[in-house]
Amino acid sequence: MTTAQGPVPLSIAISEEAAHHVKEFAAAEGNPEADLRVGVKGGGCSGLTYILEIVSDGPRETDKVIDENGVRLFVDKKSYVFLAGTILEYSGGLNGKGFVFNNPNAKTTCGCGTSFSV
Amino acid sequence: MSENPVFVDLVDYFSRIDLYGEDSLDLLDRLSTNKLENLTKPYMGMGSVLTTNKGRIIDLLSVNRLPDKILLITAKKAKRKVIEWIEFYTIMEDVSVEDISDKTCHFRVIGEGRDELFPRISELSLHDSMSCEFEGESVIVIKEEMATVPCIDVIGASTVRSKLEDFFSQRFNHVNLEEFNQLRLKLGVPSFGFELTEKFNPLEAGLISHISFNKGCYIGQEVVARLDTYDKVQRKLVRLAWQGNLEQKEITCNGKPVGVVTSAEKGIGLGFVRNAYAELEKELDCGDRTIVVREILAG
Repeated sequence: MTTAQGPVPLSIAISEEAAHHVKEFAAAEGNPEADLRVGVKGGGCSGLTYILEIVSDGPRETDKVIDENGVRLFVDKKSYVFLAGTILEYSGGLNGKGFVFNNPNAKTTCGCGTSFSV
Repeated sequence: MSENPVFVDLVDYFSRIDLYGEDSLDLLDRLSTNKLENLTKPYMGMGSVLTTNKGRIIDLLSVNRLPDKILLITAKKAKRKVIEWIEFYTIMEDVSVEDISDKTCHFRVIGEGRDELFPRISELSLHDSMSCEFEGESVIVIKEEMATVPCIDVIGASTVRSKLEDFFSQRFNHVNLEEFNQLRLKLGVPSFGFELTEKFNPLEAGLISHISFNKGCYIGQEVVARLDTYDKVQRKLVRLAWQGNLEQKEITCNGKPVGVVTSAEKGIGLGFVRNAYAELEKELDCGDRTIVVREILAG
């Protein structure tokens, strides 16, 4: 896959700050060793909606597992198609949006930013 | 329409699709306009519009919750797109799609006769259904209406098709698909491929009763909500009448394009006209014919 900026890496990454917040959320849920499931589901204004879920039951057989910045991301195969090249970041502060998907596959996003089309 | 009830064989007019899996209703709710989570019990049903992310119509679906599955009814010509749409958006969900069109028959009785045929139908809400036994086989009876005319849809295995046809023939007059089309135009009922296409949105096509404005996100929701909130609907579905044959589809007023005829048959039809021209008995032009607005079908 290529864009005007050049080839997009076919992986999913998580920034240091986003990883830090994932660990905070996992700890708040009483399980600091938990992992993060990242995916998409049909629906939302633009067609596909992002999913983020703290999980503690390990990866499924067909999941892609990405280990970065001390956090394991589990991504199912079909979601991976829509997420390849995505960097999961965190926008903090009073005006921050929380977790942000910088997804090079997204052609349009809805007003609230939680759904996108490809 | 005639006061006497009639029946029509719709096996080749509609498609029937079964959805299995615990996420079926939730997925459909995220893809279409109506609040399908309100279908809390088996045999409840409602219409819901499958829309693109630009808020345009893919088709109006009849969504019927049955004990073990969801029965979807869509236009025959929309079937492929509807199935592809559902399968594309099935990602992690437990949903499987089965096209049962060739295994089933589908009749509609149009007119007041339905209550005599199936007395329990009067107890049901519109779009709800019930299961009945016919000749030892289970059939689904759905309470519907065309405009304000009561109808029932009867769906069963294709093995009971001829028996159902005999049963209805003994009680009601039969109409073929051409006559059914004429009837839908008289009643002002939009149809896939004519009024229900990606050229139009559900609000201008008069489908507001199939839209929930408080259900949350679905594909196309932002556009549909904005059109409604800011009163941005530009044109309306109307029922039209004229003398003779139409030789073009464009509707004009003093030479200015103001709309389009989408269905036409023997001097009656449906079309979309700009809001300013959507007035009862308004006379407009369509080629060398005068065309009259007989009914406004969208709010």
